[in-house]
Amino acid sequence: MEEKRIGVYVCWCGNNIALMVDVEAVSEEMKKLPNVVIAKNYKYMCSDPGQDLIINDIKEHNLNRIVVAACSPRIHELTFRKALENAGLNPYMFEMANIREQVSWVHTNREEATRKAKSLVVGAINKVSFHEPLDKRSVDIDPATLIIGGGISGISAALLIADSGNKVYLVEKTGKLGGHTANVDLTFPYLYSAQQMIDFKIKRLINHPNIELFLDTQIEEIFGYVGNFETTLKINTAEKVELKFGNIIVATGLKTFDPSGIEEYGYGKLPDVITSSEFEKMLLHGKVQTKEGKVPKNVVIIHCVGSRNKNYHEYCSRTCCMTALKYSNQLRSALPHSNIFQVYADMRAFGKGCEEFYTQSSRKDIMFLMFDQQNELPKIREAGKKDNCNLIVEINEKLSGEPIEVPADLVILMTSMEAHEEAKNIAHAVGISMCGNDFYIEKHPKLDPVATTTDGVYIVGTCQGPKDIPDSISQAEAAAARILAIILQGSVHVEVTTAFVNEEVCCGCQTCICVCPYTAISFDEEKNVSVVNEILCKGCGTCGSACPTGAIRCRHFTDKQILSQIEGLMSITLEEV
Amino acid sequence: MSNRVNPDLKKELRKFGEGDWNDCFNCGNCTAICSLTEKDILFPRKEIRAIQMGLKNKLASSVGPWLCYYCGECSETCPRDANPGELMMAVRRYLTKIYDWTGLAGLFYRSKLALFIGFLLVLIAVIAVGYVKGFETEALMEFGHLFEQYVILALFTLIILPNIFHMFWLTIVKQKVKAPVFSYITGFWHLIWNMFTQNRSLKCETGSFRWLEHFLIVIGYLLLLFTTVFLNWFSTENNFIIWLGYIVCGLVFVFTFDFIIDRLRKKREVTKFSHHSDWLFVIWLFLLGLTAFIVRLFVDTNLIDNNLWLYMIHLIVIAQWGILLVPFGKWTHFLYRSFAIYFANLKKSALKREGKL
Amino acid sequence: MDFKPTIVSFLCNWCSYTGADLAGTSRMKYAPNIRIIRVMCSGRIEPTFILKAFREGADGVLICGCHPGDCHYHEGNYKCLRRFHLIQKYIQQMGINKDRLRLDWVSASEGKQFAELADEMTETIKELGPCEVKNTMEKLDKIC
Repeated sequence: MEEKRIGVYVCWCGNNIALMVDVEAVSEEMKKLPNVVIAKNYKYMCSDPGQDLIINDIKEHNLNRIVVAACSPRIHELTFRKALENAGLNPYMFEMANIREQVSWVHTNREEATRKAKSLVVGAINKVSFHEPLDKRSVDIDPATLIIGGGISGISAALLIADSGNKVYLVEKTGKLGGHTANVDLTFPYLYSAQQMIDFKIKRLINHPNIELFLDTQIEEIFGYVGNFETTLKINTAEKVELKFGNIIVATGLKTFDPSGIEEYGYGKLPDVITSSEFEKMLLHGKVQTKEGKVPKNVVIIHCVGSRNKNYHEYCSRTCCMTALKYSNQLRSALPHSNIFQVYADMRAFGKGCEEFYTQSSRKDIMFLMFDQQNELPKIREAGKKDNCNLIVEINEKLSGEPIEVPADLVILMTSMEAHEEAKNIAHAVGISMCGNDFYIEKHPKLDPVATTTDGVYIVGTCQGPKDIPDSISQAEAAAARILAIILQGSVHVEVTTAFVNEEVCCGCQTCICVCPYTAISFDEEKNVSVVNEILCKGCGTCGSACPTGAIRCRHFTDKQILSQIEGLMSITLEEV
Repeated sequence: MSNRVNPDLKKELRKFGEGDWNDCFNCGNCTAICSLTEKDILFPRKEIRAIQMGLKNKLASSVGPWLCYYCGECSETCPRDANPGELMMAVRRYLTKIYDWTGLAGLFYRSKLALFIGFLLVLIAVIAVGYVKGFETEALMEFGHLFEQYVILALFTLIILPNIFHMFWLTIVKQKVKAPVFSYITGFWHLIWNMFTQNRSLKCETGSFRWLEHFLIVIGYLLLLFTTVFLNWFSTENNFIIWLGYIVCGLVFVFTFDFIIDRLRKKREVTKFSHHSDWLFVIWLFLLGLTAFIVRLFVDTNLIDNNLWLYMIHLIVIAQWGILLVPFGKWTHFLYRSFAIYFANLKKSALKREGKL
Repeated sequence: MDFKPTIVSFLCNWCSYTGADLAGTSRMKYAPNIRIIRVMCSGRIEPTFILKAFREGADGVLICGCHPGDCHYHEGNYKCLRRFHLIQKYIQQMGINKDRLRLDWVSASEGKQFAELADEMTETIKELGPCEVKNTMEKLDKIC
């Protein structure tokens, strides 16, 4: 075995580390350790001269392992790995000790901070001693894409990918394209017709040579990994089709909240209390009327039904405020002499053109009444004979502080958006996760909002969270662009810090197969051992800790590496021995 | 039910002044900036909210609008340009209508035609009286003098006092305000003091010159009333009274002239919009002072006998003022404002007694 | 002299390690007794790691993972939870107080919670006093 020659570099990070940690003492201490050939400290290790320092030392002193004690590896691990590569060393022969976020920024005693820094660096030196060179791996990409869901998001993504000349399989559960957009009359804030927009897209989609459409089709399980997925589709519960594709877009959309559980609103019992989707149908048919067929004199629109309330959903559904304003605009032109009441919790008018839409709508003689969404919902009851209306809405009006009664002939409940009831099945089929309220989780909520933690699977539209049409389309086309970029590359790098089975030690108990969340481990009956599919493996290490014989090695986080790191950490305590 | 919302109230209020109740989204900036609003009597946000929701009873029971002297700061700082100051002006006109049992105040505020007909009828009546009296100077002046006294007496007993009692009923009795008896007495001095000085308006950041002008008009007007009605200024031989009359007349028409110019310039928030009742009020007050001044001048120079038309004009102005503008127009703000302070103090004493203040 | 315990802490890369980083970038102050080891997932944490830490003289071991349902690898944290309960029973049989081993959930946004957790854990261990595992083992080694 080759001699271990370790270089240790302690960063000052300007004053960020040097003020609280005696960097000189740390690097001096490290020189005493076996295998440490060189230990230095420098003002900014991540700077070009800092990196050059490492590169030159590697060449000059023939170093084969590097430790940098600086900031969090989440910030600069990749920077230093690149430096190692530039010096001709395998990038995985590197370890970072985090002495900024975990030491200098959080502690106040310089002596204790320095001792802790030393122990972390020793831990890193111990760990890097057992690092092994790992090779990058790439897989080829199948240029076809599977899109699940034929709403506005799925259609938009499909058209973009298909226009580039790549194959798209679009799977829709129902027999109709267009999703919820097809049930909407006009859209806010510019009052364009949703029908015209979606019809245009659907026409283009149906006639597109690169799009294969599967209506009335269910997805079962999807096998494979980025670039090489495959599945069997079940059409009309009878016919089966097998497909192969490289990427997946999940665009399964939303379900609207069922308000019959909210006692105060009496939905289902009072015939003239309807949901926003039912009202949308009235608008589409051009007939706004009560159950008795009369023209309503008083229309009450209640916001946040099922949203922003701890008993139902805590999140905001984002589109209902503006949809409600759209209703008052449409009502004002259809029934110019009607009384319109917006019963709201907070008026949220973010987004392009929306505040303007609110201002303009608020001038149309609409009464805005605020209620306390958290503590006291409005109550709807049947009106008496003298009331001259169908219903009475009782509200404890927040802005005036008055308990009031509002006459109503028609009440529209602005129901919230919910995750689809089948979201769980789809998540299981494609291998992605859901957050507490069953919307899919993106890879990073800010920096990577369309990808998921499963490579090659993207989430777009309302299955990721409530959003309006332009946001859904932006997300859909962003995902499509991401996929096109990968198709253009032809291949993609996959995780190399995967698990690996030592066949000589494996006893064939198959415990690892039970615990793997990615079904990446299969069993070789002939050899009676487990085999890791390194393309499917994400390197979580769960199998490694379950393996009773220690046959599974989790690369870059092996037992040896971590146990040795623990020894290193414990070699210097806070107490003077 | 009394607390039923009514979308039509704001439509009605629109007839009483400029501004759009739809613009306000109840942020409360207006109340925050106001230097006169107090913890327990908050305005203008509450009043505007009551109008938006159509809570007529709540609005009618409110004294807040009368405590506002329209410095215009709320309108300047309103983020929605809803013009709360002018909205309060409209509320005051509306409240005048509410208090007035005859219904004429409301009619004259809403309809310029009705007001014109009223003015015309008074004019015809005065000319008719002149005809009956044979257009003889002395007889007419004697009639005019008596007329003033009877009209004042009748107005007070038949219209103004019942209306103030109506205001008392709406703001105190109906609201079940239980103020201690002594506060009715102690508050009375406040009432008188405020009525003549309006010194609360000094708290507004509009400057003391406007207050002084207003104060001099009030004093001038009251003294003019006193000298003409009780000291018989037009016929007296007493030099002191004659000179006093000239001075107070001068005060009235000089400063009202300045008010008219101010309204024409539209530079300040208060004068940006003028309702027809505002115009009539300042112009007729100006005419009142000016014609009285010239009439006495003509008396002193013995020209009045040959220029009876001048006295006729004065008599017409006075009759229109006294019969139409005083009981049913803007003049009443003089009393309502002072009584509002009185009632507000009663409300505060009641709260203090309940331990809520 | 005051007892200054040493606590070995295992944090998952995606939630808890990021949470600890956030405590740093937010300059929250906490006790210097915690030493962090990064693993990709709390599901990777083996019983051996914990025992090794006690063997090497750690006075406490703190494990942090993503909140239930938020695991980057779907369900590693649940597996960690199950192991944790077993190991806690096991260390008690070895004479180690169960409070010396703690499992908690820290998300990437919970820097404050991590700092508080570090302080709490340090306080708990200070009350319990030094862990004698290392000394006992060394004595045993000598006898054998």
